[in-house]
Amino acid sequence: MTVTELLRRKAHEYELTAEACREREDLLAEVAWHTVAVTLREVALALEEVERGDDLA
Amino acid sequence: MAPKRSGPVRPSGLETPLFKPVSRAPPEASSGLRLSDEHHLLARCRRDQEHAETLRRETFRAIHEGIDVSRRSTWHVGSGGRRPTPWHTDRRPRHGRRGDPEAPGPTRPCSDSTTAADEVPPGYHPVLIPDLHVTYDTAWLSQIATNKRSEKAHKGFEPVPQESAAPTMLRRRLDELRARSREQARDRD
Repeated sequence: MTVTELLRRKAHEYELTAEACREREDLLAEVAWHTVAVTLREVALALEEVERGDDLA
Repeated sequence: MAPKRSGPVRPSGLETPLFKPVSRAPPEASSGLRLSDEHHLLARCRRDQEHAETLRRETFRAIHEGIDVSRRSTWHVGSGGRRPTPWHTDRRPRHGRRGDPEAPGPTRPCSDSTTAADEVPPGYHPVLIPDLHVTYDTAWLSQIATNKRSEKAHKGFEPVPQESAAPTMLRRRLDELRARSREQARDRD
């Protein structure tokens, strides 16, 4: 497993947690976990872009 | 139920665990989290977000500095979140040829010895993300990035909201996050 895959997997786990919080109508927790997931995906995307040689700007 | 932890298969064929078993549960939705413990959850979420932000910041800093973060061999799954995998025990290819004094990477021969596990070669700047158990260093990286990439390096995310946050603000933030998730999915496609 590459680091990118690892990050995506972790992000998915965080989103599952966010989903669980939504079912519990815990808005604060849902936002919190979703924030972490999005941050990790951002890193994963950046790594993929660099790997492809894309310009990140 | 926690997901099965499977390790990467290295060129040597050895299985290396990605994660060190942690004393607390991973963030699974169904059973891993104590969803009733709000305080515990949020505290942990903030800490995870700090780690994620550290990873984001260090990654973009590396890109800004022209470091090739695309090389998989420069990323190391930490051995328990305390220190990086000993650089000289990793058999994966390095940047540059071994023995080449001009190469930016380590030039010492690879060894399975663990006696020097704590030895850190010059230029080695590990960044450890404890919860992710990911470490990466700059010793084996090469120059590829452009300055334009730095623009994105400053694009951060808002921190995890405080408990006192108003519901309307949270809903707005959630909408933004969902929009960003969709954008990320499109970016990947």
